Amino acid sequence: MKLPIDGLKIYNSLALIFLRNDLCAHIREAFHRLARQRINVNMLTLTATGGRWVGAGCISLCDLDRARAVLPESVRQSDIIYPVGMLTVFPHKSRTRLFFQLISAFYERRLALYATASATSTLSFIMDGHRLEQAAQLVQTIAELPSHHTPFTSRLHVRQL
Amino acid sequence: METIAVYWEPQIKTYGIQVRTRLRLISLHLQTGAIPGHQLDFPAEAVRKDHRLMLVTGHIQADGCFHISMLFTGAGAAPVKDLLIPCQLEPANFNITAPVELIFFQGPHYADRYGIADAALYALESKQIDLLAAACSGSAIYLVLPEGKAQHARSALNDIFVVPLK
Repeated sequence: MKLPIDGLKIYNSLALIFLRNDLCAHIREAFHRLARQRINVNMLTLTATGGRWVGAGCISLCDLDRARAVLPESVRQSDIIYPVGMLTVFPHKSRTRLFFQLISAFYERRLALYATASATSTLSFIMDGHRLEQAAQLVQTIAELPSHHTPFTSRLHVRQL
Repeated sequence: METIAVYWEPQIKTYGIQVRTRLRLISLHLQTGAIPGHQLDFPAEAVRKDHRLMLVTGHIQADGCFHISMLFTGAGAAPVKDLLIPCQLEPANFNITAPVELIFFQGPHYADRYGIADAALYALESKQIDLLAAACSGSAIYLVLPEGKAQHARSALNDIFVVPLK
């Protein structure tokens, strides 16, 4: 039996920046520089141990050149991957079960998963941009969307001045 | 279709800052490519034993493993370690930190605005509050802190983020 969900959205044209065991102060400075450049971090996951942080942050692909110019030297070229996309699921219930079923299914189908984060009513997954549609189809084999669901991809893109 | 937007306010507004205490932070290191089925029994078992998932966040690491951090409630419920035993996870592949605390908040259009994560991390750094984990997704910010730090962090965040008075 499929798990009911309230919705599914996909966002394309993103870049993912990995933070590899860097000093907290360096990463803090990087976020400050991104903010000064008015670059939005769409999704962020961080784990801190012993004064160092590892994690990943997502930005819009159109901001990548400006971001590269201000990121610390510790962020290497190989720490940035693009294009990636974000698949966001809105679980109705059984959030924990759905999360593990989805990552298991992604691995079985060899859909690379780079980062993930939950929020109050969402589970978001960062994946290869060109495989988002395939991932969305896979989600529908596990989860039941409402009949009146809107299109997965938003036609509206908000860009800040 | 593209919409150009400008968000500006003298102090960043939030809908309110919430704190949860007596939580358990579980870190799992999963081999990518194949997740053994018995490892996936863990979340179902945790929920059955009345542990509620507050937050899940993760990323792939340089060694190719997928690192997942999960934050569970469950004070008074079965120890999380007991739940991990049937999952046959090697001790090196998981870590439990408890008790920990969570502070989380949401705000208008955070998902589309720059500077929100920077402001939150600055607030903690300015008061020298260590962070165990963090996740920003959509309009929500989650900060996982060592025991006894959440109220201190709330005070620091209140210097940066404001709840508008009715």
